[in-house]
Amino acid sequence: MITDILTGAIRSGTSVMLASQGELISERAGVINLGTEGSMLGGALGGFAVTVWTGNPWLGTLAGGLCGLLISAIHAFLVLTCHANQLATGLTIMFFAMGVTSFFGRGFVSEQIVGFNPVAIPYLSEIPFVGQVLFNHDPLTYLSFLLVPLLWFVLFRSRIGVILRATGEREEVLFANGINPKLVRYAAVLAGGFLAGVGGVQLSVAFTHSWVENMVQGRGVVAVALVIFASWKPIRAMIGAYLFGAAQALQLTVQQAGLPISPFFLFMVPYLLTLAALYIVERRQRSQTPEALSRVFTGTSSG
Amino acid sequence: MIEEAVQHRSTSYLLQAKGLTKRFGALVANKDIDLDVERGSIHAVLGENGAGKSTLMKMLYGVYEPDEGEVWMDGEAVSLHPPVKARAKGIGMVFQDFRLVPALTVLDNVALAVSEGGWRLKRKQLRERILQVSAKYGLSVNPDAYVWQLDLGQRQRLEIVKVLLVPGTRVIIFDEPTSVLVPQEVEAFLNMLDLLRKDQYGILLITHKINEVLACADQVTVLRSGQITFQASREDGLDGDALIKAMMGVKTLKPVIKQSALVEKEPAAVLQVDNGTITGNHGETVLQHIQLTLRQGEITGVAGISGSGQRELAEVLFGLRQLSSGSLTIGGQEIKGGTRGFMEAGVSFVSEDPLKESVIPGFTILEHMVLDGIPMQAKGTGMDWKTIRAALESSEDARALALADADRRADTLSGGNVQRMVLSRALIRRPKILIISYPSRGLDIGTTHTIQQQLITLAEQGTAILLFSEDLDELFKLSDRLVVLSGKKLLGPYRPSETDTTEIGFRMLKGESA
Repeated sequence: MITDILTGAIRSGTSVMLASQGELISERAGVINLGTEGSMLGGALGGFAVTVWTGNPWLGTLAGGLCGLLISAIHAFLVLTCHANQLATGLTIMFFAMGVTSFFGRGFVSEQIVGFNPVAIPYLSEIPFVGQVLFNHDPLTYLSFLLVPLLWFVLFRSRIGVILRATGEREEVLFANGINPKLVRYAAVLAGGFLAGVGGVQLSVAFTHSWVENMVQGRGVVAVALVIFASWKPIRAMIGAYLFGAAQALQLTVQQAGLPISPFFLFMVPYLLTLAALYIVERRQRSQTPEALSRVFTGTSSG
Repeated sequence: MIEEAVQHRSTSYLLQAKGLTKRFGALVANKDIDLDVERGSIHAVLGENGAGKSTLMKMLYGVYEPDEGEVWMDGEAVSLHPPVKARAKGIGMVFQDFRLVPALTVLDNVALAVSEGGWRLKRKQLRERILQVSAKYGLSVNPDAYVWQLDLGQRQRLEIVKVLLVPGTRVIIFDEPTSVLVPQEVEAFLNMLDLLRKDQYGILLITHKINEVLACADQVTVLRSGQITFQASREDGLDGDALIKAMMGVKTLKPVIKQSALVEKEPAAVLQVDNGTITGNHGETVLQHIQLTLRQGEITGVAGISGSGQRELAEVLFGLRQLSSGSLTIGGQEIKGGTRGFMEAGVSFVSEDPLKESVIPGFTILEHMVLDGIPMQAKGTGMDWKTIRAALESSEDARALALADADRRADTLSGGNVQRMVLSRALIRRPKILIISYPSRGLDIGTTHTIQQQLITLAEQGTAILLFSEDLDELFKLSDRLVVLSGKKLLGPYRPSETDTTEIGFRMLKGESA
C-alpha cells in the first residue's frame, strides 16, 4: 500500500510539479501568475486534442505546451505591457481559460486515446520498492525528473539564472547593466506557461487519458501556492508537489478500500494538507520573497 | 616631429569633454563644460549640492545625452548614451547608491556586470579574478557573502571590483565615494585611488570634500550653478582657499543683513537644547554637546555641508527622534508624547523631503490642510468642508504663496507646488516655533522671495524660526543668528553682522579650527 501511495504521489503529483517549476521561473522574475491554472487547462485540452488527431502524444505535448504558453502570453501582455494588477489579471485569466476550454473541449469528452503509458525502465524498475516507485512511469514523468536539477542548475549556476533572479529583485540594477528586465520577465512568464501547459498534458494524456471539463481542479493554483511554500527553490517545490500528489493518492486508496468516509471530504484533503503546509512554512520565510514580488503582494508595484 | 607630439598629447588624454551643456526644461544643469581626463591621473570635480556634478558625470557615463557639446576619446567624438556604450568605451562608474542586488551573492552580482564567457557561469574563474583584483588594490570582499550582509564600505569595494573586472575599463568615475565611508576607510580608499592611478587608470572623483581633493587630485574642476568657476592642476598649485571661494561662490564679502530692529536685544528663549547628543540610524553619533537656543521672534539659520546632522537635528526638534542624552525644553518644560506633544507646544515642521514625508499622493490640497494646519471642523459625524475651504481660501499665507487649487490632488502637483502647499500649511497654524528645512529648494526666484518675506513677517509676529538652508546668501539675509553644523558639533551662534560668508564657509568645511 505504501508503494501504491508513493507511486501514485509521483503519478498524480507530476502535473503540479511541472506547473510549479514553471511558476517558479515566473515568480523568480517577479511576476506571479495565477493564470497558471488556465495554462494547465489549455495544455490539457490542447495536448489531448492533438493526440486525438495525430495519435502522437509527443506532438500533443508540444501543442499542449504551446497552448499553455499562449495563455500565459495574455497574462504577460496585460501585466508587463499594460501594467495591469498581477493578481486580478491572473484570476481573470484562470476563469477565462475554464470557459474557453469547456467550450472547445465539448467534442473531446468522449474521445479515447492511447497517449503516454508507464514504461518500466529495465533493471532499475526491478529494484525492490524504489524501482516500483521511481522507475515505472510515463515518459513525461521521467522528463520531469530531469527538469528539476536542470532548472536548479540554470537558476543558480548560469548567467541566465543570475539575470532572472536579479530581475525579480532589483530591475534598476539590470537597467544599469544594459539588460531589459521587461524582456526577461516576458521570457520567464512564457516559459512558465509552457511548463504549466506540459503539466496539463501529463494530466490528460498520460495520467487520466481523457478530457473532462475543468479537469485541472485547482492544481494550477496549488502550484502557485507551492512555489511560495517552497521559498522559490526548485527542489522544495518538487517535494511539495509530490506531497500534494501523495495526498491525492491516499484519498484514492482510502476510497477504493471502501472506508466509510465521505468522498467529498476526501476530495478536500489534498488542499487541506497544502494549506497546512503553507501555514507552517510561510510564517518563517517571508524574508526570502523576491523584492519585486513583495511589491506585488503589498500593492506598491508599478506594474 | 609635430605630428608625433600631437599624437603623444592626444594619447595621454583618455577622455575630453568639450562644451557639454545639459538642460532640464528651463533649468540649465550644466553649461559649456570642458574637462579632460588624463591617463594615470585623478581629476576631482568639486562643488556643493546641486552644482551640477552629478549631471555632468551622468553625461560622461551615458545616462544623459548632452544637449550640446561632445565627448572625445581616442581622437574622435564618441556617443556614450546609453551607458552600455560608455562601458564599451571603457568608462566605468561607481555610484553613490549602489547598483547591487542585495539578495544575490557578491559573485552573482559581479557576474551580472561582467558579461563575457557565454551562458555558463565560470564561477571558479570569476572567484579567482575577484580575489585577484581585491588583493591587488586592497579591496577585500568575500565572493560568497550575500550583499545584504555587507556594510556600506564593503558594498562600495564590491562596486569598484565590478568596474575593474569589466574588460577594457580605463576611466573610472567615483560619485561622492567617501560619503559612505568611516574615516579609516577613507584613508584606505585614497590609497587605492593612488594604486589605480599608478596603473594608468584615469579617475574622475566627484566630491564636496576639499581635504580629499587636496590630498589626491592632479587636477581640479569646481562647479557652481552648473558652470565651471575654477580649474587648476597640481603643477599650478592647489590652494584650498581658492577652492572654497570658487565652490561657495562668494561674490561680495560684504553680506546682506536683515533689516531688523531687534538685533541687539535678547528676546525670551522659547526652545532650549542643553548639552544634547543625537544618535543616527546606525547608532553613530551625529551631533554632540549641542547648545541651542531659539528665541521669540528670531530666525536662527543653520549652515552646514549636507549630511552634517541637519536632518537628525530637525527631527529631534519635532519629536521624531529623541536626544540620546541632554535635555530639550520648550518654554522651560520637557515635551512628552512624541510629535503630538511638540505640535501642541506650538511647533511646526517642514521636512527636508516633503514629497516623501509630508504628502499623501491621492489626497487633495484641502485634505492635506485638514490633516495638519486648518482645524477639523466637525459637522454631525462628518466634517464641515465648506468652512474648512473658506478658511483656506481666506488665508493670506496661501494666497501670497499662490497655492494651487484646493481640489488638486497632491500627485498632480509639481515639486514647487508641493513645497508651496507644505509651507502654507505650516504658516496657517501660526506656530510658536517653526522648524523649516530648505524652504526655497525647487522654487523660482519670485516664490523664494515671497517665502523669505513671509518668514520675516512670521518672525516679527513672534515666532521662533530655525531655518536650515544650503544657500548661505539666504541664511545671511534672513537670520538673526547663525549656527554651523560641522564635525559632529553645533558651532555658534554667530551674528551675521559680525561675520561673513567666507568665515561661515570655512567653519562648514573645517569646523572650529578655521
